[in-house]
Amino acid sequence: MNVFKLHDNGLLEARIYTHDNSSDYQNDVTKMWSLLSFLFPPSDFSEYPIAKAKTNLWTKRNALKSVIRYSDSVLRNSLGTALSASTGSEQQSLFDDQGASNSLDEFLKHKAYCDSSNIWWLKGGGKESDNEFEMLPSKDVHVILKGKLNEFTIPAKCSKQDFEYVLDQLRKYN
Amino acid sequence: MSWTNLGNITRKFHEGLGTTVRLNRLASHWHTGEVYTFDHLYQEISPSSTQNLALIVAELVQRGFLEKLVRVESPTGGGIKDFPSVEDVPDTIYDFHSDREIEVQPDNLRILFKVRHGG
Repeated sequence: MNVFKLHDNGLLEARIYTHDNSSDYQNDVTKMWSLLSFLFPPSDFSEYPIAKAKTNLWTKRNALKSVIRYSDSVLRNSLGTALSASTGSEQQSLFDDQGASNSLDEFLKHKAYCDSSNIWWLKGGGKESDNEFEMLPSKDVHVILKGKLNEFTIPAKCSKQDFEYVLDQLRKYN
Repeated sequence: MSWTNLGNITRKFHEGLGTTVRLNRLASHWHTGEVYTFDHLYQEISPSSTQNLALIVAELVQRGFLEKLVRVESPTGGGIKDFPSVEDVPDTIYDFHSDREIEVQPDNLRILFKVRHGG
């Protein structure tokens, strides 16, 4: 099911169900707009890019060690070179690999930016509590930062609270 | 070609001084042949909206500062070949990164803006 949700602050959130065989969601978004344009005229909204969050989450990683884990990251520079780093397993974080981190940092200094990332928002990273039921997020939440400037993907099911936590964090670091 | 001020382009789309300064700063360090994605330009210029950036980039292309191209990329990540438009992209292409012929999918295409004359 696809959902359009208008927040109190005017943010219009478009949630599109995950495809199994394609990462292109533009057609789904266009269909949603055409179905709901009588309620949400497209001309009343502008895109909310989260591009800066992609780079900020990496550059501020030392302060975010208990909040996120990086599985992989792709950087690009103005020569068209792409530098990709991926962990050896799902549980590992690029933050703990000094060699890979240094390489990515050095690359970023030369007209480069973070093009895409695979990150995990760590269980309890948003709230210091011993109570299992008060932790946010309630489990590790996998997020893929890729695609359009205003797009991110959560490939597995998660609770409403966890989803809103991820959305808030992305806006915070944007 | 003057790089001293691209403010006449940003002002045309009612962008503030900050956008003008960032665009001028970026352009003054451009080198011929460099390529930028739309995302990269957005991060560097920080315009008021993506719609305005699309207009600014279109103007930069129209005035000859940038050239729009379509790059076919290997599934392994590297670029294979550039084309002037999507219509010019063949259905299949030899991927020298993986030494095999690949069927070109939308995920293999990347729109780039190439600097025509450095600063």
